[in-house]
Amino acid sequence: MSQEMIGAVMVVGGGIAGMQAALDLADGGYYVYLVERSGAIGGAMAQLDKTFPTNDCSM
Amino acid sequence: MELLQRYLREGRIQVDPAIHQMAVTYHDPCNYTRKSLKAFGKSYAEEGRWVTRQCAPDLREMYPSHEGNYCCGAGGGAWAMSFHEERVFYGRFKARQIRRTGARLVVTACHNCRDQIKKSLRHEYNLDIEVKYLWELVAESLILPGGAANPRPDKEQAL
Amino acid sequence: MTLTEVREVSGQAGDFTVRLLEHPRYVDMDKCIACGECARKCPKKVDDEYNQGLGKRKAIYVKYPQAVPLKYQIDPENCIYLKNRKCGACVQACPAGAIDFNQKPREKTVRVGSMILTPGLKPFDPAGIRTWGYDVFPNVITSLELERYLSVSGPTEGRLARPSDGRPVKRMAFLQCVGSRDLNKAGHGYCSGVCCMYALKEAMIAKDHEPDLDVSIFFVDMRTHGKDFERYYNRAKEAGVKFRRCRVHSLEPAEQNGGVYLRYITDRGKQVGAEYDLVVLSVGLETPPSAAELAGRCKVGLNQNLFAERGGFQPVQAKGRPGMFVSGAFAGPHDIPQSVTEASAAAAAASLPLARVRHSLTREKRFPPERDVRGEEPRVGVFVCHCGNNIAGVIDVEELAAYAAKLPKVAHVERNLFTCSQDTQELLKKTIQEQSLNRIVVAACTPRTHEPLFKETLKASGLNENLLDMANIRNQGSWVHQAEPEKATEKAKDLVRMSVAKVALLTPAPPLTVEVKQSALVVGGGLAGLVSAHGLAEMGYPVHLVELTSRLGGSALHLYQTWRGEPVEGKLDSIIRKVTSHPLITVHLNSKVSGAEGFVGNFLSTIQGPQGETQVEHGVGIMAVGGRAHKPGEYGYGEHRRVFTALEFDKLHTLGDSRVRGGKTFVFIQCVGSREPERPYCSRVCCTHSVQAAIELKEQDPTRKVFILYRDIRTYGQREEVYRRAREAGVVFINYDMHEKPRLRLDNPDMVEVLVWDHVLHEPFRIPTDVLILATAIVPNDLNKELARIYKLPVDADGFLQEAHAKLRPVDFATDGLFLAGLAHYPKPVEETVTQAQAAMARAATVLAKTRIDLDSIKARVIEERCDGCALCVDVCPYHAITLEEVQGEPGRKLVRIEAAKCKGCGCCQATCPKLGVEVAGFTYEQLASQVAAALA
Repeated sequence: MSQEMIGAVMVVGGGIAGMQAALDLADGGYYVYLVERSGAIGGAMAQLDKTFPTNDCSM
Repeated sequence: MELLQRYLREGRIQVDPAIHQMAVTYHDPCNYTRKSLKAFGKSYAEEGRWVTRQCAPDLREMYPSHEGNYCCGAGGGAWAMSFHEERVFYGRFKARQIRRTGARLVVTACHNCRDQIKKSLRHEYNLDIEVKYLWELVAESLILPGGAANPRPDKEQAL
Repeated sequence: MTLTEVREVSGQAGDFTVRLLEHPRYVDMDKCIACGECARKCPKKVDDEYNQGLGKRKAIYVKYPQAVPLKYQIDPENCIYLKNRKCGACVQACPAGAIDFNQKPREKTVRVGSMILTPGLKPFDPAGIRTWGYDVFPNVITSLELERYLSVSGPTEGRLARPSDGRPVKRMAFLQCVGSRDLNKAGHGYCSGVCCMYALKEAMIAKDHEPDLDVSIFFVDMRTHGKDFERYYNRAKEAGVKFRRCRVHSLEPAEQNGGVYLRYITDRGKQVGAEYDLVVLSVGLETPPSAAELAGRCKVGLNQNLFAERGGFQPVQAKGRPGMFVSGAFAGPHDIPQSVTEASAAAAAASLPLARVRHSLTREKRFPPERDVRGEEPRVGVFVCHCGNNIAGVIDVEELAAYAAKLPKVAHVERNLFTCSQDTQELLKKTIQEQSLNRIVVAACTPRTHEPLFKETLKASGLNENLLDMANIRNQGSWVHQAEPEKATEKAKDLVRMSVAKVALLTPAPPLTVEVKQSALVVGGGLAGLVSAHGLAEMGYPVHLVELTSRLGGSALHLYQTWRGEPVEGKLDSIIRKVTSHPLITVHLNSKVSGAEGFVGNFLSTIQGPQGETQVEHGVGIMAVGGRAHKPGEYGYGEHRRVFTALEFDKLHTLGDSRVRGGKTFVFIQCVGSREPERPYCSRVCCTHSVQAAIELKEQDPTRKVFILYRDIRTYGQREEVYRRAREAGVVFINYDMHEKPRLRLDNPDMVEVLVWDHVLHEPFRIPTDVLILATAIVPNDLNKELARIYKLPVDADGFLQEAHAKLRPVDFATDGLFLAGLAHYPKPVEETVTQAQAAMARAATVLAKTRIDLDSIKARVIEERCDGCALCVDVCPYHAITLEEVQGEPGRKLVRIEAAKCKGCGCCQATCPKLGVEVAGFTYEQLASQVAAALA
């Protein structure tokens, strides 16, 4: 039984992990559906003020 | 406790909240909350409070309370044993909590706790409080059928 | 696809059909320009979830000002029109006519080959638990609320004040392990892994805001087990943060002034009471209910902690569900570097089965045609970034902007809160086009953070990407001159003036395009090397695998089980077989890399093997050279026959050595060689390893006495389960401090006497033990320095290879095309090694997937009129990009020729040339001279 393979991947959840996975997949040549429940991507990391070690603003 | 609740809810007994108008606080005994939670999966903190509130509406909460409350210090047989100083020392948290609420009456459902608070902590820490059992509070608040005055016992009872 | 959720999944790996439900935004995304007028007019205020309920938002809102996509949305639960058909103020206010109350939920069905689930975390909610008083005392807050308070975009704009009365905070306390390691109150036995570190970070940032702040952290074990984390802990101690090893049992109201009172036990056993203005609960992470529902719909199993079920050797694969992958906080309580690594690994794992259909559905990004600005007068746009309050907190940005506006050739100046955010990129594009700007100065952070982002924005606006200069007023300004804000502002003015002078002279330069060789080199044949080599080969790329020893397997050959108890040997054998039998992998045993040259897509490495040298061309490289166990010089190691390292002990234990088999008392000493002045890092795996060994010893013979002497038990994340089991089994844990390490008596060859100060009894404790096991450090491979020299890679202070960015590029090197994985990066356990190797593979594949890439045009070029062929520059070039050649038709005249692809634009040639004969594009003599002149002006 030959199986059709779809060259697309769905990433469910638009936090930092979802965004990184989506970028890597897209750079790798796959169409990505990034599905996010809320109105914007960013997840919990967007609520942090600064991140260790470089004290970059988490935005 | 559940029985008292049921009777009050059904109206089989009635209480007069005007009798106990002072600030009151409720002490959660360890056995009714933590021990009960571990053994039976249910903690009986709200029931005692509900009954107390029916009789004495000005209920102040100690902090922490319910399952997180401080032990009176006399549990596990400590009331009956010879460790007087230790028992008083351990009860200092409870004494401080009571003082902080500013309550004049402490109500509790456990005999051990009531004894510790009334007979030991009250004297050792100069707390200006009355201590009553939950059933005692209900009994003294009862509206007797026929309108007869509820005979209230003398404040200074024999220990 | 925002405001969308997964409703149903059917199908199998390679071909899933997913039914999605898109909730209505009630705002037309094509029309909304995010002007904010609607929110201004909206009468309904709602608690702001982004600010953890500390502030208010309107019923029509954006999550936060830098949200992507930056489009407003209407909250159907709170909108007056949607609930009662009254109001509609937003419709009147919107200049773009974007409000659309008629939107309905829409279903969409898509087909995909794989799915990756990353629904994230929810912070533990301490409300209702009466010992912490979270919803009772206003001055008890969670750590996430503190993040919002400290943040300039938060409800108090970064001012730290007591929530109860707004008074300044003088004394602050953090309580660790709230909602974690707590089955009683919170129902979560696992460790959330991130809270110790974030508490340190928040404490340090709070001290930045308020230098006299008195901060105490009340902890159980301080878990700073990641790369550079231990150093940060030491820094926090030096900065005066107080650490108390005590789990505070409850909080009470303070007698006066509305603070919070708590009691704790000192290390002498005394009880002390203390008052604090603010108490921060370091809340743990848990899986949100929506994520659990998603898991159900996708038929992905969850373990008892409600994290996704996965196996140790396939850490991003949802167990039992081929085609579905998980990463991030959904897979376990993970921090940002771990989540990013896992995300890349999931991308690799998800795309591996789909290798055949790569590129089938993608399109290339198109940029607008580049405007030729060569004939135009320079019109410089200056964008001054506030960087939250990273810059604006020290430098007077308004003064700076006003100053910049008066500089020659400056046509436009503006200030941004975060110049790097997505919404500002759109603003930049618009401004460049509207104002016909043709040179851009961004006064912000270091080019190392965001230069590529701004270059991309320039391209998208139709400008050549090289018409940009960044004035570093953050790293070179606000961050280092915090104590002198006026001088910092003056310096910022100087930097901007220099940038403007230089940028006016920049000329457009086309990028260099090179082809990418479609093959890879993996250095190191341990677990990381094997996994990434195999993965890349499965994707269809030929791989050369170089291994120093005669066997593949590396450090994993010495391990028996993962932390979950899964056996290592069988899996390791299986992957070794797959690698050695794979047609696309060439294994070089007994070999090492002796030299290399080239650049991304075009590397040429020389492999020195037993039969001589081989030269290999490859597009990308993965460094997986591993680490080794430290052999300590203390605790009688090497002198006494009953003292072993952890790995040695494992072998003796498995083989039934009589010393172990007959042993009745065992002592483990943790942190031997780690967390010491000469090695200030944590080796991460040793606590879990020792605890597992201890449990086995007890299970074999419960009458045995097993002691673990530790400084902090770091069974992080879900490994906490192992620690709990050990305690239940009767293993005794004794805490020791650096200043009072355990002492030994080694005169008896059949017994070691261990003397340690017991922290519970407060007296010295003598343990005559049959076997002493030392949990020794993992140290970097000795070859790292040589490899670093060959490939020009950075090495950190502890000797481990240094990644490009600790959080956002954890497996990349700063040098494009090279990646790292495994122990060479930092000590880690098996499952994290596999994850990192898969991530490196994913990142390498993003390079290989493009057959051609653009290199930047910051390259050196020869000024032929001035070069006289003295060839001094040839020797100084570290990349061997310059050669000396005879000029055709002019006998005796020589010129140097620069191979642009090899050139990295370092400028050594330019600095050396005595004839001004070679210069680097973007840093020409004229441009640099103008900067110097501007600086001295």
